[in-house]
Amino acid sequence: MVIGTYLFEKVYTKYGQVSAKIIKITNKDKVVAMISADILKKLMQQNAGKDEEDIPMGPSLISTINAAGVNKFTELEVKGKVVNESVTLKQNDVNDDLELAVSSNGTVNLKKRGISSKFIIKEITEISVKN
Amino acid sequence: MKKSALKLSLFLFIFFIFSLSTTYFTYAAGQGDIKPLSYVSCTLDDGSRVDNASRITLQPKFTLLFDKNVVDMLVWENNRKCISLSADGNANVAIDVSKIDDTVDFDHRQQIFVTPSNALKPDTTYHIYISPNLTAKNGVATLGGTTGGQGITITFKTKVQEVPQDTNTASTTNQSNSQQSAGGAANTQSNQESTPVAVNSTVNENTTSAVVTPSTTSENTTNATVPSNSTSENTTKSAAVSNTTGESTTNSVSQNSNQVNASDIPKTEENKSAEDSSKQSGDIGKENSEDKTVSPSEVLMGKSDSEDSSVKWMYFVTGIIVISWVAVEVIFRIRRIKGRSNKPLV
Repeated sequence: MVIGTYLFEKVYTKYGQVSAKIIKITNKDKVVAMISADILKKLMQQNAGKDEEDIPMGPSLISTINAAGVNKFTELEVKGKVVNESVTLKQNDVNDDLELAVSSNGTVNLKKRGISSKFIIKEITEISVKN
Repeated sequence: MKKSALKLSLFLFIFFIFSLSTTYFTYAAGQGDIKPLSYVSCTLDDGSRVDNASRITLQPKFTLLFDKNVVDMLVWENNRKCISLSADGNANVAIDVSKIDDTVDFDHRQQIFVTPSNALKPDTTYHIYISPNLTAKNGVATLGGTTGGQGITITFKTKVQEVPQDTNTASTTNQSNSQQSAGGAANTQSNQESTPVAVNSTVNENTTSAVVTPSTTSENTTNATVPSNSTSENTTKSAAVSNTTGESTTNSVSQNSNQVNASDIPKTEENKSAEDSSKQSGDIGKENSEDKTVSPSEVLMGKSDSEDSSVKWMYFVTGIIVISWVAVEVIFRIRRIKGRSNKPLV
């Protein structure tokens, strides 16, 4: 049973990364955290302010990175499921306006806060931190 | 055949009901009686305890061990702010608080790593303060539950820095140490500046020298001809790596103690935390390895150890099977007795 559980976790993690339901956060090519949509929803509830006019669709990018244990960076590269789809954000670009919107199918998209704004990156698979 | 099938069905039914009810009551008990978070120990890389220790290295890496998961993402933002380091006189010291996320390596979920951003002063008493607000993953258990709301203070003293007496020896050692460093590119610069006098490079690196000029901090400071209060410690870091990077590539070689801190944080990210020194006089670090029950299964099974818990689960399941079988046998015997007693006497 223990082996089965271990194998199941490994398979689930692999499947999650491929299907963009688990986001891998890396720092210098080393994985520092794996985040799923469930965790992001809980983070959003934790950080939700009472006076917010816009209903958030997910936690902010910066709070997610901090929760993963990263506080210092110069650049963030957010990669999507589509090959070669990525965006590089400087430290000054990353603020509370950038949020990780959780969709109903468990994938996560990067967008600017505000209902009408488009997705910057769809179905995020990896966030790479550069110091 | 029919009787055996009935017996087996009844056995499975009783087993299932018993298992469910046991699980339910166990969880109910767990939710109503959550054990508070406990501090276990504070150790260095070599495993030595820090509590009340003296002669601690000037560039230590502390590992704080607790009895519950304290690195979960939902509690990490709070927890990293609960750790602070101060010297005597409540002077706060900048530290990097880091973790190995439980999604990456589950084995380190109960550990928090603390590294001073700059080298510590020799022969100085420091205090690591852990706030009572430190929270476990369950979001309910806090350290204050075991410390009476006062937090924990771990006191230690750094080693006395010995001043080398031979100028030539120090400079030679400095050059050899420079060559041994891991950051090869920066060594060219450091080698050129390996003079007995404090150099004038402007890299912001660690130094504990008291003679360094305010505007410059040298990457290599050799104090062969120095006053007694300066250090003779070499830090040979790569110039491209600042002292606040996530990956520690520090390779500092002390002239006197020959301690080398190799890059040893492959999986963590560092969070700077310079907290307010609103600490109270809590308990000095104490070991509490007995109070570790966490989940409802641990309430039932006791301390969760990888080997013990699997054996205990076996006993538990076997026990349920035996009890269920006994119940089935008793039911069938009662039925048989009733059947005999209902038979009319001929």
